[in-house]
Amino acid sequence: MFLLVRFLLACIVATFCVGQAIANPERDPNNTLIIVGSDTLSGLMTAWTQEFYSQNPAISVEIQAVGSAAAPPALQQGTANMGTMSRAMNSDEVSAFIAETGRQPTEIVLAEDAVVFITHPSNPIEHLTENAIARIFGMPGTCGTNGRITSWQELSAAHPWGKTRIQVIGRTATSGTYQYFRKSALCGGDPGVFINEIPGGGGVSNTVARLPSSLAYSASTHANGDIKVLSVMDGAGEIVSPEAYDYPFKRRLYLYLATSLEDARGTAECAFLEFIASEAGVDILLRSGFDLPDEDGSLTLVGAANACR
Amino acid sequence: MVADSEKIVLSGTQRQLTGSRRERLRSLAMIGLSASMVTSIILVASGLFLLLLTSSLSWLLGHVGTENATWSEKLYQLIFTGTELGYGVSAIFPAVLGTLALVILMTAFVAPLGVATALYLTEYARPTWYTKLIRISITNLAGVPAIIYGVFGLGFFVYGIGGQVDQLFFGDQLPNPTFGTPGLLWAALTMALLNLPVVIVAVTEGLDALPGDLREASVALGATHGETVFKAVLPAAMPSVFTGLILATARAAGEVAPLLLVGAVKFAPALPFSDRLPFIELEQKFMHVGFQLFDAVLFNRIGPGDVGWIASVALILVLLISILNLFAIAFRAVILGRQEPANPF
Amino acid sequence: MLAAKNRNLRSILAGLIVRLAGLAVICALIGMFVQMVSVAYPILAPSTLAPLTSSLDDFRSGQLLEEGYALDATRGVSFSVAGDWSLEGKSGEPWFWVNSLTGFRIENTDLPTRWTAASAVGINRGVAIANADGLISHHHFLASTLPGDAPSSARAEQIDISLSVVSMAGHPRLAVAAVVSSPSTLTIVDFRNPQAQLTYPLADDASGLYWESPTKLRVFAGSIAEDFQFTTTDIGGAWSRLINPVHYEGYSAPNYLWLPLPASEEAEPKYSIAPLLFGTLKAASLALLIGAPVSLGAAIYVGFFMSQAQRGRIRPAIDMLTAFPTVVLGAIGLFWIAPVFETVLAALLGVVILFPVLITLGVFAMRGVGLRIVRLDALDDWPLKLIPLVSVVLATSAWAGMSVAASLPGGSLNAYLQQHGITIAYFNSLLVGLILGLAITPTIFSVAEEAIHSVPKNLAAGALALGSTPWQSYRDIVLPLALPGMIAAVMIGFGRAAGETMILLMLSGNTGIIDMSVFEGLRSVSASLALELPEAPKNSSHYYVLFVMGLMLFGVTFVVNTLAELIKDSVRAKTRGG
Repeated sequence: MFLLVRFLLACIVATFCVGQAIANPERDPNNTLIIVGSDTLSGLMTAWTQEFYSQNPAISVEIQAVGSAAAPPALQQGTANMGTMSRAMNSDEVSAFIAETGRQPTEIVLAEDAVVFITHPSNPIEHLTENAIARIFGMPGTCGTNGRITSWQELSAAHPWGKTRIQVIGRTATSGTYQYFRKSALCGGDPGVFINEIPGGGGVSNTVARLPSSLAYSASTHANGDIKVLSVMDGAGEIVSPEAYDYPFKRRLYLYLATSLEDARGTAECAFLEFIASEAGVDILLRSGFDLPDEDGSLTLVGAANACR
Repeated sequence: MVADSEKIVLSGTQRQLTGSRRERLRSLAMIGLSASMVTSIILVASGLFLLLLTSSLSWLLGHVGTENATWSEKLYQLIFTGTELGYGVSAIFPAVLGTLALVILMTAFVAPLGVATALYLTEYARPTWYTKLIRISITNLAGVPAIIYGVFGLGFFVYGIGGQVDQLFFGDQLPNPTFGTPGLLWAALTMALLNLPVVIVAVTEGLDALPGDLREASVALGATHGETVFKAVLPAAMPSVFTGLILATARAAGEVAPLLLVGAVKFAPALPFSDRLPFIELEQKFMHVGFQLFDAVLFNRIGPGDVGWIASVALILVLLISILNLFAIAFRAVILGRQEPANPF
Repeated sequence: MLAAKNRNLRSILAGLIVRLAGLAVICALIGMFVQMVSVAYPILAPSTLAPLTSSLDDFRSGQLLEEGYALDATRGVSFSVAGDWSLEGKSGEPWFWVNSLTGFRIENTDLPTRWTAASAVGINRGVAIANADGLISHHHFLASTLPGDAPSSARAEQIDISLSVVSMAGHPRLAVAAVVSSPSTLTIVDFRNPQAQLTYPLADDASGLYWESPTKLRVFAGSIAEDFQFTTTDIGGAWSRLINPVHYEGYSAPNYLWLPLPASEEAEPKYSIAPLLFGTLKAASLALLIGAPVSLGAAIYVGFFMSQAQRGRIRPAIDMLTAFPTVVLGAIGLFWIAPVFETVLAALLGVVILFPVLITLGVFAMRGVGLRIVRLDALDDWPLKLIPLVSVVLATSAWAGMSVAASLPGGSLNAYLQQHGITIAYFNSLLVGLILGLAITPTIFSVAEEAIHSVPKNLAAGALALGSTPWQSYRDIVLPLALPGMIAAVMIGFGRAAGETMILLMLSGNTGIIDMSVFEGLRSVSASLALELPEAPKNSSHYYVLFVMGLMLFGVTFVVNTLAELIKDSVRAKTRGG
């Protein structure tokens, strides 16, 4: 018994020593920045917070990145001060937020990227039609199309891989990329239950890079390295690459705040916003492969940082 | 019962007396096959280990992956600074410390309850339907899937107890929850529950192995039952307590599923230790080695050259658990192999 | 004297605390069950309808009626469907699909022509049509499969409320319609759960009604407006929607779909848990198929043929596998096995077929050189002696499998299977089964080995003394006594496999399909819990359904483990007798 007590005491002392040795003395426990949400944005957020944390060690940062769907409930329940989303909040989520907190969430347009279709570099295919996308990724009949495409031959009669199965890869339902893809490419219909759903965007790219017969949709920032990015043939018969300004699957990425910017003045949120709107922050954003959004009157980073001051 | 077994022996041997060369060959073959299964399992386990080792070493020593860094630089990056693999992959050092904090807290919960339950079963209770019920509960707790502990932890600890704690003590901060959100404390409680059967089984085993003389001698010297149990029996069974706690630690380091629900996060550079009582940030979210591997594998871009990085993290995890397991085996051998009871006084 | 009393008191106190700990273990298990039931329970709650006190002034309600919330059968109705198409109808006349751009009118012959009320259900997704006899049918719109062609409709459900329908309003989101009928009754018909109708007597004959929000219904009776609160879950209290195939909106036939997060707030979440239960069972069965023979074989050897000392050494060696946490096994599967699965499959087939044969031959060949059964305890070092043989056999049979695959018509196993119409999914059940089988091997081994070892050695010794071979004495003496314990081991292994999460999350592909092929992916309950529970809003239908699944998993493992424990108990009693 004494041994047990002694052991526990030793544990407490050891914890104390570790605590003394590595605890951050400047740290203010009430000054925590909890960011929950999109996996697409998680790399950018990690890069930002790493830099931000090294400049502001008094503010502790936690990032949880599993999918955009996690952001609204977290903001609503107050388990996060910032939510990152690769799609806009839908009206249900906004009304649930208002019902719980009595105020609007603050929406900041963070960046722009695109949902791209990726395959293995050895695949000769260059572009997909919108009709083919619906027939490959959707349940039968999505967007009023007829029948599924399951093999490369069905996609393009001249394809050298013939009857080889198209390994369709996508994201899980909690991902904002999934929901965006579903709305914009599948006419809001159901994605096929046969799609291999991978929890993270990195995982999608990893699989595609290792699997020749794969075809996936992914956020453009995840589509780096040994991966072929396909163009899309739009309704007018024009082949558009993801870099083009009229690529049909361009989208905005959002940052949501639980409070208004006026209330956030002087808090960790505002300090973080001011950091990411700074030159260093924008530099990280561009280096991570995102674009700055076009000005169209919605609240952007610079606007938000100004409102903070 | 005895008759039963004898009947089986007799009916069996009657057939065997006709044993032929054919039977002897069959015997040889079957024993060979079953022995080869043992060999296969060990070969497969070693094969997996070697796979990780070679992949990890070729990454550390070779020139693939990160630009021409030496192995020591790579190791340093891996552990302390983090490697950039397309995206920032954080270092494993904060994850190891997060795991440590989790284990310390978990031990504080699971040790008293596990030891007390084991003591009850071996030193206090006579075998009745009630102890049978407890034993069935323990088997069931051991068999409940880890993810279910996560589900329970989220529903009961986080939303249930956490929500209540917030209403009682942190009312001024509501609706922003302090404890009503996944965090270290709830993760530790969930892990403690998950590991309760591990500790109970290990301690029970140790207590059963102690000679009865120990208790008799203690009682004969005039000790009360409580004194016998806590001052004579338990100290002698201490190695088995350590066995249980070490096994629990190994499990806590490797089990990721419940942590997906109750508090592990991708990135939390602020370590969960503090210089204020109770020295651990109970409500904070934390990083975890196993979770980090999961995150690195599915949420990061792993090029062909970076696979060795994954192998290294996995290898560190496997080695950590293996070492813990070896310690557990050593402690177990101490108590099971002991001929003479140790002098408890 | 006082000291003694104090000591006794402390002893009693300690006893009390220790007894409480015993109780706490039982409470923990029951508590887990009760807590999960209490969270999951609301999914079973039936829908409710309750009047609200607020009411509109006459002027406003009259205005709303003018705006046409009460639909008129004689005036005709029009619902927009998909693209440029809309559905138009007038009572007594056929329904028409109308294209607003081209002006095409195509007759729809599926819908009833005699009706008194019709209303859209959901947005652009379906229509409910009621006639004067109280027969209400619900039809889904199906987009056409040819561009430019008119949509079609499919009847999903028909409900008879046996009241003369005056007016009807379809729910803006769910397959639910509110109906006012004469004499003065309000009925909520739920096409998801046809048996559950909610009726409410109105004070006056109602003329119209509409949904102000998904939870608030407004009914006009004369010049008075009455408000009702409608609460429901996403499955409307219909348990069967979780298990049975469901005719979801936009589909021509009932099927199983697990799509819990709809694309937009109007769309219908789909909660068929059958594919997930199937996936869990499939993965666990495959894991057993691969893990059980190996671990039982090893358990027989270690439990019966090895001496006590050697057994103490070999068990930790086999427990080496437990040092691989499942997240590591998943990563190994993802990066090292899945990319070369075709080769692994060929090698695996080779091993399964050739391994027993080659090992048997090898053992016979080695009979003269070391492998001899003189005494039982001379068998101790066989696993060690067999290392070269097993390595060679594994390599040979794997090589044989691979070379046979390469010589198949088509040049590879993949191409050969493709010729026969079988394609292999990258993330397939067999891959999951293989890794999962590896993960449950130590569990099955350790329980089964315990069972075999607990059979008293003297029984077998008797048989040996009478001249039986070691295998005979195992098969005829030990096996009958150890069999229940071995079955218990397999059951525990099954429970472990069913609940395993990380491997399935990483390797199963998370495809929610019901397909018997081992080359297709699967989606398990455990992976869905891990993926979706952190994001499911607390107290939403999705959250409840996930808890229902958690409860099912808990229930299955509870039954399996309790049975296994009882079996082990009875065996313990039996062998102790011997």
